Amino acid sequence: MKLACVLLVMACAIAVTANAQESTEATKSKIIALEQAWNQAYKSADTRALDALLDNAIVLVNDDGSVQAKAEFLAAVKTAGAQSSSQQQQVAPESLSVHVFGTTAIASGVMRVKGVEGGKTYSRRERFIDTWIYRDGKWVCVATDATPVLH
Amino acid sequence: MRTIGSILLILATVPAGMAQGTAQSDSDRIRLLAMESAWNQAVQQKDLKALRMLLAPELVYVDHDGKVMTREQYLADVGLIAKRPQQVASESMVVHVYGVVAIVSGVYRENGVREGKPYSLRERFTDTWLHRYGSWTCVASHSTRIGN
Repeated sequence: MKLACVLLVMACAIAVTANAQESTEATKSKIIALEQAWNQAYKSADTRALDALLDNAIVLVNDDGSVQAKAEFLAAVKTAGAQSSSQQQQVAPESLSVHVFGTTAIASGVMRVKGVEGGKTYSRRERFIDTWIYRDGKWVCVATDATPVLH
Repeated sequence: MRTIGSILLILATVPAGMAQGTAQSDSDRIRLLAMESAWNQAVQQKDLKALRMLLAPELVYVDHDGKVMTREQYLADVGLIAKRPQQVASESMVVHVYGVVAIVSGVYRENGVREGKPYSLRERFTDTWLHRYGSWTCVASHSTRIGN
């Protein structure tokens, strides 16, 4: 009887661990998909999609250290979207890794950014960290920070 | 050194993030700002034990030059003998608390001597703190260099 109880407890523990691992993997996939959706929305200047991905109080730090509120960021994306395609910024992810801590996820990686500034083309790599939280049944980004890769 | 460790222990282990009220959020904000100050003090004093208490083993740390580091790599960088920070301070800090997660952003200044030469840093930082196992721990830190 005791042995049966011990085995039952062990089976439950294994099941819980397996579920947690499955859940973590599912969350990682979800966050990767959200990061891709963000890039797509940014490229196509889809401010409605961006609005749904970003928390209203998001902390947004650009690669030059400037800070933008969500409304300022969305307005800048809209303005860029209205310009000719040659002036639009292009972003391409080079790497992405996700750490999951229950209802919090940290996505970090490197982006290659291309665009035109002052009539000159530029291409640079940026390291970023995005913090996602699960709230009201969906994942939203509450912080994003970018830094030029100099090494 | 012992003082920072004792303060950290008290700051980190007070129950937090469970009650969602404004008073609880306010006390979390105060606690997190104190932990940011303790982090600065630990960097200046090269108190790696205190830093281990503040930073999660899974920490993702991005330096101002885009270099990504684990917690142990960051601690090794702080502990460099050739680097002697003389002034370490944060300003304009803002804390957003989302239950068991908090974002602290602000401006970090560090002056000192590295390999015999003076250096000065001014960075915009964003730290992500998580309340787990009864204490706050930093799981991600990102810096972007800004002008002096």
